[in-house]
Amino acid sequence: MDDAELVKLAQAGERDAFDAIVQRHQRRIYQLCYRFVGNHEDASDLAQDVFVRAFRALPKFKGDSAVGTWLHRIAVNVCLNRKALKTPRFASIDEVEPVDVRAERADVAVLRDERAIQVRAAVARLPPKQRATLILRAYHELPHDEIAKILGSSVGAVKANFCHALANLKRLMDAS
Amino acid sequence: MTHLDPAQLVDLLEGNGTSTSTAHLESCAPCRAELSALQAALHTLHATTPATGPDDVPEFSPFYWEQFTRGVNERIDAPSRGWTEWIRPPRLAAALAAAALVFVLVIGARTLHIPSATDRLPNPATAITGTERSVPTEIAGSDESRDDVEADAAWAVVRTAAQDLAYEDAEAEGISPRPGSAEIAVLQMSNDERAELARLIANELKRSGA
Repeated sequence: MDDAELVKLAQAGERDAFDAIVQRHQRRIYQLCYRFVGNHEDASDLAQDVFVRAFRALPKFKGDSAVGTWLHRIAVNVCLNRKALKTPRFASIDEVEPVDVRAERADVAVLRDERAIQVRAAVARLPPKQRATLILRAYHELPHDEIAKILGSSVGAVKANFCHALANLKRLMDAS
Repeated sequence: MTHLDPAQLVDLLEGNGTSTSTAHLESCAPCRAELSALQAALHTLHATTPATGPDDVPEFSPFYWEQFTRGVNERIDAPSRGWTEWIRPPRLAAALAAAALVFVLVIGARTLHIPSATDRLPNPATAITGTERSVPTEIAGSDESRDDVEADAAWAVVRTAAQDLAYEDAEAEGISPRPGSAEIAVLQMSNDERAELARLIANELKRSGA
């Protein structure tokens, strides 16, 4: 059963259909939230909030865009609007999940992890729309036109935001 | 010469540049530098993702995702938290406490007046007359204001601290206020400042065992 059919059933009051939508998209939405906030606790809370909002907005969903795009749009709005997350709390180097370092020296891995934390902190300092564009494009590898639908802007604006985000990121990284 | 716009630079960055853009790039050092900076930023982004996979996002067991879905449903089914949230005990108690504090401060500020001019000791140096008061007339209260001062808890702390202070000692220390000066100073304070003064004096009294 595809997303559109599940949405129709969910709109008719079938909670199992909505559960199926959640199960289908929860990992992706969680990942997106995690990219914004950088820690599991807030990401999990925000991702659940996204689906609660989606459930409440179901009656208004006309199916003009794909369910995934719609959920991404809600997620971006939730992440950017959460007041407590204006300054995201990123996991420290001690909290970062251990990665497979069998193929690299320990000191190289530590440096890479430190660099990763610096990058996340720099991303967090970008203006909201640039941050959202960068996360959706560079991490989630969504096409420009889908990002445009999620953010409610044009493809040209998405490309411009991506360009500015990368340039600002370079400046922030050089400064740090 | 018109430089490449951001969208053209992104197209080149992603390998989708037009022949016109590519030709421009070959002859334009600033655009090449800009593209190089974008490539470096993108490389940094990709280089800092762990070698274990495309994402540095934690991976969870199916059990976690079952709990996640259940959590979403619990939130959906939870009763809506509107204005009635404010009449629940913890918040209600906090709201009432805040209201009581505001009430006390407002009433205290409105009723705390300095003693009337007739209650003050005359200052020989300045020889105050009935028409030359040393305090503004709008805050020189009537006799009933004295009772208010006596009843004011915050002001009682000040009085307690000062009651054993001899005038000569105070003058020797360079403190020689005119009658009413302390009252005026306190009246010119904000509620927060008065509360802080009371707190500091109470702490000092406690520390000295008074």
